[in-house]
Amino acid sequence: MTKLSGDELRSAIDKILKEKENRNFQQTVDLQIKLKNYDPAKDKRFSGTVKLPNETKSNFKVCVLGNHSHCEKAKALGLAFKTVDDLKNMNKDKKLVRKLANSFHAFLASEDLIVKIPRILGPGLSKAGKFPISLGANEDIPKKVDELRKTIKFQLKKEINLALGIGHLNLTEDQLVGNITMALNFLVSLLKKHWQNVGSVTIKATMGKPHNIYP
Amino acid sequence: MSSLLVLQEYINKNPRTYKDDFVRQIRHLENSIEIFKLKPSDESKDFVSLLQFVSKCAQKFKNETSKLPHKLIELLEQHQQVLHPVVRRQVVLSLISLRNSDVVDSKTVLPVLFKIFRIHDKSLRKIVYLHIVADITRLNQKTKNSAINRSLQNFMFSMLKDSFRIAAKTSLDVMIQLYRKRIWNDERTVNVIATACFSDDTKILVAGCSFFLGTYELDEEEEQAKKKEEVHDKEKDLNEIRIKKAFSRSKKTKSKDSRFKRQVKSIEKRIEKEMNKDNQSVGALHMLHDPQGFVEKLFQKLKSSNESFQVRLIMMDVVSRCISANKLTLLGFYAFLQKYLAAHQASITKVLAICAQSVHENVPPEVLHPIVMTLANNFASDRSAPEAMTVGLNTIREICSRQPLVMRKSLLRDLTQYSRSKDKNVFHAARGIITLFRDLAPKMLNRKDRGRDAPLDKSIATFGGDTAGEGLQGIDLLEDFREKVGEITDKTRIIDGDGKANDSDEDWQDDSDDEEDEGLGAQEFRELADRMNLEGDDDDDDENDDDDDEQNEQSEDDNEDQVMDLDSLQNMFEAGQFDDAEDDSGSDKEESEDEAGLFKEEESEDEYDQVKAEELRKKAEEKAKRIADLSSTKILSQREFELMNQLKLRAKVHPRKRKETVDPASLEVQKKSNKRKRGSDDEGGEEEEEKGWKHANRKKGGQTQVEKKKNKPFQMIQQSRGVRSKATMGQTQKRLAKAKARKKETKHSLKGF
Repeated sequence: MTKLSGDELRSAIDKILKEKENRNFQQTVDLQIKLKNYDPAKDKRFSGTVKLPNETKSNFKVCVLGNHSHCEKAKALGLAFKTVDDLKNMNKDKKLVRKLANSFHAFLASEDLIVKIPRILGPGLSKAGKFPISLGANEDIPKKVDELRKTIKFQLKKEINLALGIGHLNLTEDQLVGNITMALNFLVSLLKKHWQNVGSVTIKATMGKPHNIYP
Repeated sequence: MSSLLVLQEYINKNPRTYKDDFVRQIRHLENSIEIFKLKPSDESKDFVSLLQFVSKCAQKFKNETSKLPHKLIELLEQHQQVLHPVVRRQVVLSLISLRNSDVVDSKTVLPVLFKIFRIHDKSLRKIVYLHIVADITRLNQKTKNSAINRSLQNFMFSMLKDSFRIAAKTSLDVMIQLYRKRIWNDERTVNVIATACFSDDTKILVAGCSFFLGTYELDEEEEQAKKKEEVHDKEKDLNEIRIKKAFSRSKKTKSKDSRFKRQVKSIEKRIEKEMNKDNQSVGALHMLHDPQGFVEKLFQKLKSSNESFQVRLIMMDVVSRCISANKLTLLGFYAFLQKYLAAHQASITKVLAICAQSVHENVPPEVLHPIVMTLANNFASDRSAPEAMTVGLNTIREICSRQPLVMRKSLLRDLTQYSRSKDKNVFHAARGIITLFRDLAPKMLNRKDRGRDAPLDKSIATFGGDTAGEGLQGIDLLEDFREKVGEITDKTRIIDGDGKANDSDEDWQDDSDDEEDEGLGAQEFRELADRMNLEGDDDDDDENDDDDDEQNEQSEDDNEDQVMDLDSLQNMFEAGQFDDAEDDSGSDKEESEDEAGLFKEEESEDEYDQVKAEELRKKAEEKAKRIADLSSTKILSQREFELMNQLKLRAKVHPRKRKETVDPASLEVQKKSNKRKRGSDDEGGEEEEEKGWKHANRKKGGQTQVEKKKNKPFQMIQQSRGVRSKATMGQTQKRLAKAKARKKETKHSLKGF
């Protein structure tokens, strides 16, 4: 079998949505993929980001590292922001930068500021995989944040298992199917032998049962 | 002595009978060990031969000898340095042999053996080294024995800090060897080896660094044996071909000769590839726990180091490779490299390769700009030699392919001027930059360098720009392909049915024209389509059909849009060209490079570009939306992915792949490859070389005897033996006829009797 059928995926999502119980937090839907015939020590590691059709997290925290006008805008929108002076005050302190990186999902930085960020903050942000994304002077901040909310990143490290949240339980079935389809298509296109490298695919809600959809 | 040998033979034949004798000998040995401890520097021959005997027979009496190893270990630990070399050697050998016959486990033996590395005895160290590698390999053969591995690794870690240099180096060798054999290829080992890079000892430092570069050669017999084996294989293969050629009875022709040579060459190439294949340690850089910390520390060491330049070069290479592998930010490194960027610098191509290698897309262009400017000033300038120019241009190209933002328009236009250079290598290097920017941002190039149908909407993404893909690259190609296949099959059906229908015929022709333009024949389309359908499951087909219906509608809309776009574009294009022509003629008349005129031209060009680019951007947006839609509606199958890859290859939509390392040879002047390329255009490189050689020979020495003979008049050689002894066809026939007749005669005469 070289292909995952759409019906199977749909039925699995249906089950997940039916099984859901009320918890005190927003459950995410996770996609777990195990690779096969793949040696991370030998083969080239891959990484890729893709924008899904629908959002993946409901409470998505973004911080704007901006110049004066961007900070004003962020304040008006109620987003977290940091000015250049705030960043300089961190004094490249590794712990502070790590703390900053851990407390947000993503960062936006003004176009004129972003080139200076490696100098101001040191390697902390890129080490956490959260190097800011540039924000043009006339760009729409809410739109940009919305795009970030939909973006997922595949990165193979030392393990051959990949797991990442591709949606939450407040999405409809169709939205989830769209997200998973796109994510799977994108991941499989990154692999050298495509489906022949995929060992198994499982989807589950955070507190729910896992559903194996492939093979 | 001889009695022991006799006893050994008997024991081998029949161990049970001679058990008592053996136990007696063991007891004797234990006593003599105690005696020996009092005077350890003695060379006692009896003791050595007794040890030899016991270790040989130990396999048969495991219970009886179980205490012996501990006594030997005790002896070694206490009197390691003072023991007589011959005795010490024998003690170690018997310990190894006891370990090999499983009398004692490796956990107790190996720590003692590691301490042997501290002894000044090269051959003994080698024996111990080989044993350790073999023993750990054996331990991990079936499953990884993590408990023992961990304790041994901890022990090695302490050994690396050993004050005795050779001991530390040999332990490092053990680890590298085990990593190469894929026995200890976990992160722990790599991180222990990484600590060697900070050693104060040059040899250890070089070993650790070159491990990460994959160039470390363990000067071991094993390695040499491996190489010998490969050479042997190669010779064997070559011999086979040679013998085949020598024994072939067919005519010797030029083509056969060249085929033979080609085969020989391919074998040599293959072996070379195999030799290079065992560079697995490159992946080790990914396994570091804290690459940023590693690089920072190594860079600090590099800055303050007073090692020789070659050693510093190796350290630089490790730093740059680690930066590139893990996309780290180490801004000081670029400023550090800048001082080495001069044409007279020793091993400059290596430095340049290191420099280009350390660049990746997360490095701020501001930091890199001074480097590129230095390269442009020191190398790619009219004052420098063509070789330096080539290297400089190639390095700039390599840097720009990794971080294109570093290039400014003015600099780029200056550099592309070198494509007019008379020197072929400089010309090629400059062309390399042009082709790179044709791909990345054609707008930055001079108009005539852009090439036809340059995608003007393409620009370099801003620093830290959003790199997220909208969906699958190339899925639209797949859908287009599917539509076309659908159309073609429909049309063939119509033609088969009522071929005289004019409308459909015309359509068909139009269609086929279109396909030819795209470089895909209708035949190929059908073949691919057939393959898809034949192999596809029933499910697939149904789905395809459904999809096709939907997409057909969509595609019609698309087509209309395209026609509109094309028309408007055509108009735009003509207008633009007209302007351009005028400008050109003007500049021709003036001949001098009027700055204002140039500026004007540029302005009009920009305007024209803007309008065109806007159109194209709209189109691109639509395309992106379509891709996103398509890739979120259906999960592609394996076959579809493969087909998509093929289509992408044809449409030349391939993402630029970033190589982790830069080969210095790729930056240098490439005379050889050019030659080969030229050769392959007509007859193949080797042929040409051969021709050249023959020609030269003829000029030098005149004709050979054979050649002269060919042109002599026949009368001159008529009387020679070579001609006289040669029978013509008629003569042969006559001779045969005579022989036949004689045979017949004799037969008759025999009958007569």
